[in-house]
Amino acid sequence: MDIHEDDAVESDTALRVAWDERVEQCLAAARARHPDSVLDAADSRTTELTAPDWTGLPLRAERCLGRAAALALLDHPPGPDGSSGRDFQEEYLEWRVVCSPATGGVQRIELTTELADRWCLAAAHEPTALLSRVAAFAGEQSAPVSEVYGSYDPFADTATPAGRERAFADTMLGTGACSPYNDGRRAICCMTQRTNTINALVTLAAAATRPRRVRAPGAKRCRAPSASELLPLLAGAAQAGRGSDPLLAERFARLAFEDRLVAFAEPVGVWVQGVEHTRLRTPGGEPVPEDWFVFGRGLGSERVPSGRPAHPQRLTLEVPAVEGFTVGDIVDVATEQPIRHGGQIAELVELAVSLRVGPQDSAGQAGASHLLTSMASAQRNDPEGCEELRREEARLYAGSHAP
Amino acid sequence: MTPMGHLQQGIYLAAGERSPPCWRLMLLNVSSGAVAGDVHEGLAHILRMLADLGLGRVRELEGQPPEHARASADQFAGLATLVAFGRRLFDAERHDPQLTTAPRPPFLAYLPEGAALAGLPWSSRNGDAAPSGEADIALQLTAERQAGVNCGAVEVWKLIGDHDLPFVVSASFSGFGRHDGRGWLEFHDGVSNLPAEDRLDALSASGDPPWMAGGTYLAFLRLGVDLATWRNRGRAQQELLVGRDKLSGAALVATTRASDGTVLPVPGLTPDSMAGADDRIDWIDPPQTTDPLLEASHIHRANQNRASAAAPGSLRMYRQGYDFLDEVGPSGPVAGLNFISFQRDLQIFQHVLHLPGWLGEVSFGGPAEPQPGEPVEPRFLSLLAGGLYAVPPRRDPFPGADLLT
Repeated sequence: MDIHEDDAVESDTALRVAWDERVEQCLAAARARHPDSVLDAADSRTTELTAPDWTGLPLRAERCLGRAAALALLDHPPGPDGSSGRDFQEEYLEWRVVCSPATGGVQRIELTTELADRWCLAAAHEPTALLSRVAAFAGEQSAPVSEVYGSYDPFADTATPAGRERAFADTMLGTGACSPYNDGRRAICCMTQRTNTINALVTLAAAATRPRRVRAPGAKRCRAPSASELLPLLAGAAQAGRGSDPLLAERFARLAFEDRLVAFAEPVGVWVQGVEHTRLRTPGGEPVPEDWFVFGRGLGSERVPSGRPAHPQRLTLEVPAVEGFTVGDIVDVATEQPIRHGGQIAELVELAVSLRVGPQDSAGQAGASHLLTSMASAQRNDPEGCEELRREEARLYAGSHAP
Repeated sequence: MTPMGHLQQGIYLAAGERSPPCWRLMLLNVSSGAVAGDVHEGLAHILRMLADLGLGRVRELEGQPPEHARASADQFAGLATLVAFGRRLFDAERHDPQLTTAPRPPFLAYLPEGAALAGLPWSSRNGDAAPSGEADIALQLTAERQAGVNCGAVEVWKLIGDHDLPFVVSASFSGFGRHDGRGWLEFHDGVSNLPAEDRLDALSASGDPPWMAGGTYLAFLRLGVDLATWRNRGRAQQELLVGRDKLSGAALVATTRASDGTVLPVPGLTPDSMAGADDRIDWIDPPQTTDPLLEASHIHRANQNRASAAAPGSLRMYRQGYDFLDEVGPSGPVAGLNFISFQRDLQIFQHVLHLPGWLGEVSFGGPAEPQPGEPVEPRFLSLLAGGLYAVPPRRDPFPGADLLT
């Protein structure tokens, strides 16, 4: 099956305006709770660029369950209640694994960082383009409207953007049974895990960017808080044990400690900065060429010199048919294991969020910095939430075996 | 036992502690056909003998006069042995009968042949020979005296022969520490190592597999350094590639351009020599930079996100490297670095060496695609040997003994 992935960004002005408004709303809500935090938007004062990065395999699942169990769980197909391994893909990267019907081996892995909110707005404002894109991701000529909008007719005279958005969200993002065009059975379009959202990202940024400094016992000068000191203060805005949250929280806190202005770079989103393709080898022992990874769906309209979209949000690994083998025959030399799970590829994916920041000592907030005199708040037991994660795992497996 | 107490000796991570200046890594393979029980007994015998050496008790010199015994004790002063297990031990194709049924840690793998690690080729000096540095068992010996680690290694060889222990010495590598805190590049090396309070978080392995809980992992790369090539670069280029001022060690804080467009380094302030440790932290471990050229320098590529070890995505490693000099001949010195790192999971080591923006696209530092005026990375490093090892926690009768039952 050929996949003609649409890597063009939405060009519709109404969509862009709507997306900007959505981000502004999220930021306004977050700033209402944390006034001295991220700016509404980058401006002439935020002259520098920085992009904290992390990798896409959910570390909490790996740490809590062990690697083998985590990799299997993360690929678990949707059960009758709609729950699946996607519920555990919590690093702002979600994926599906396409297996060969003939051999059962892994044929293709598709990964995305696309935010559901943006897809909702595309569904509201560009129904035709959106349906075409869904079909392309599924490798089909067309996607049934009912599988994307449910019983709502997005082209009816009475259809409204709000109605389309609601219908799309109910059908493609539902917490119950979800459309096969986004739950991985036929396609994956955008992220559905409950914390992989623009709201979660912005809330974390605002909570962590409040100026704070730590004076360790006996130390003469202050420093920025570490993740273990910071996360208990963020009222649930960041989850300990993840690859993303603690690292992002520390980075935001460090920028605030350096008295910098901080804003998200436009357009806002999580993107794929790179892939550790050099870890992969063909059955003949040759390094896997980087161009077997197809990058698509750029955050903006720019392209890098190679023609690839800048700030891509979608990544597909598939071996060209001429090679005579599939992804399942590729080996990760770091583990000596063939690729059997999507998490093995997610692990190689480097994700980033781009920020525009001001120079050091430019925010004028140093005097307002909150001094943390104790090293860390009392840690609750199991800060990484392993017990809860194990319960969710058990629930998923129990549900999938239910009649 | 404190959490730090689970780690074996030979890892010097306490605040203010310095690793001893002398180092040797001895690699042992299990003899063909040996059974696990014999390997268990043999390794226990070797480790007991090395512990005795640390107390000045030399097998062959038993009964020597007390003043000579004191001299022996002085020779082996500070001798510490760390025992580690390589991928080969778990390789059923290499061992018949199989030596262990314990699960292999997921990232305890052979270093790949051919392209080796991203950006870091195997040395042509190895020719077609299989890469060395892999073994069933590694013994890291550290001590205050060169004679201590060297004689210790030879005592291991003697014991194997005298008692027909089921081991073959496959290789041995030596190294030395410098008192000036610099490496062969003449830059400060190791100054951005982990703050003491972060080290245990960065080192302590989880319980996957269970036998490694509280232990750590060792990565060993013997890197040849082509000093002639490195020295062909001017000081400014070298500083931009490293990310520090060559003389003071201060991290660079910015770059500027000369009138001809050449990029020039701008170092930060050097802390007062009387400054306390907390005043020197930004000098030791500079924060993440927003300058793309500085971000491409070695000290930032090797620690790109600058997060604490408490953040699982931070990819922190604790380095404890030793330089080496094999010879100085007509074609110059054959020298380099025994890169040694300890980390809670070898996954971290792999990420650092393969991620784009980290060390995945270069072998040392500098922009991957330099523009005019920017520093160009000279290819001056090559991999002479290397291997990855599991370092189990302390146990009786010895670390990892359960593997061999």
